[in-house]
Amino acid sequence: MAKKKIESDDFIQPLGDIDKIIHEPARLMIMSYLYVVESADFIFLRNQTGLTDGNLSSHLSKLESAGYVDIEKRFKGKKPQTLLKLSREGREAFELYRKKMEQVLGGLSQK
Amino acid sequence: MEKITNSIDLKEIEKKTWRSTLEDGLLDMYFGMLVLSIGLGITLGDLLPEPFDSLLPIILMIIGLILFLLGKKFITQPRLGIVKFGFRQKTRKLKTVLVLSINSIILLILFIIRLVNPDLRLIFPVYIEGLIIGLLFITFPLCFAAYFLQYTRLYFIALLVGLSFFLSDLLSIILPEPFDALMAFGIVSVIIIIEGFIFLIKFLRKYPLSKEEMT
Repeated sequence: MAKKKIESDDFIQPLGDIDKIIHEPARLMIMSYLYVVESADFIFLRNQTGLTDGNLSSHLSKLESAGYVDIEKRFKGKKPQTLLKLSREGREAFELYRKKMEQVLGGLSQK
Repeated sequence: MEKITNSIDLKEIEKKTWRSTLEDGLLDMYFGMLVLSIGLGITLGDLLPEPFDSLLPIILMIIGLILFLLGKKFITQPRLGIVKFGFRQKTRKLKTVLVLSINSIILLILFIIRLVNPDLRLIFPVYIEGLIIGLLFITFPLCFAAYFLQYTRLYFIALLVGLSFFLSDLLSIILPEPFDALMAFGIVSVIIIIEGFIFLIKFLRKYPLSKEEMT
């Protein structure tokens, strides 16, 4: 019985290793959009994700704190412009997240 | 939030992101302007004195390009935002430029051959010549460009522009030269410009002018 419990924990264990910063749905979406482009500004990302300004802003701050997103603020004329891009760590973390999710979800079946 | 709950397909996200930059219809309108300048070039070549006959189409093309770039800067960017694409999209653009450049070189060679031997003709009747040249050197290369750029509307534009030479030959039955060309290219360019304009209106509705950034 004890052996069975250990085996079950081994199977579930990868879920514990999932990067929780990326795993949050809105942040996962932001990371996915930034992964497929070189860089984008705040407005573009807001249009693509459909998130509100405040929501997007707070998720970006979390991703920046984790070192996953580089944020460059500048002015274009009198208008502020925020350029966003995935950092190298962010790109690696996203790729690792994808692999782990494939590993975990690949093992799930309805049988 | 529906977007979030759907499964995430990175290829689809990349496609959607790329296609959103073509939603404004400005490129369509630019193609329309190009077609119009070809038509005017053919027509005015017989009506205007040199060098205005050859300069006007070039001026029109430059005006079209300036309008396109201004539209991108003052209409599209403030609404859609700015995006820089990665290696894959750059490769697509490069392939498109390559195909269109090879096509232009072939066209240039054919033009020189025709210039040296004005009597040289294809073995087909004249109206079929226009159809073949249009489809072979305009529709097919533009279709390749549409495929590489994932720009679906360009297939339609390619077909219209390719057929405009044939349409010009058909109209020559009822219209005197050079107005047949003006009418054919005029009709095609108006269709393309209207189509682009409809997409621009849809774009303006979908992406209203953006508020100040909140970061």
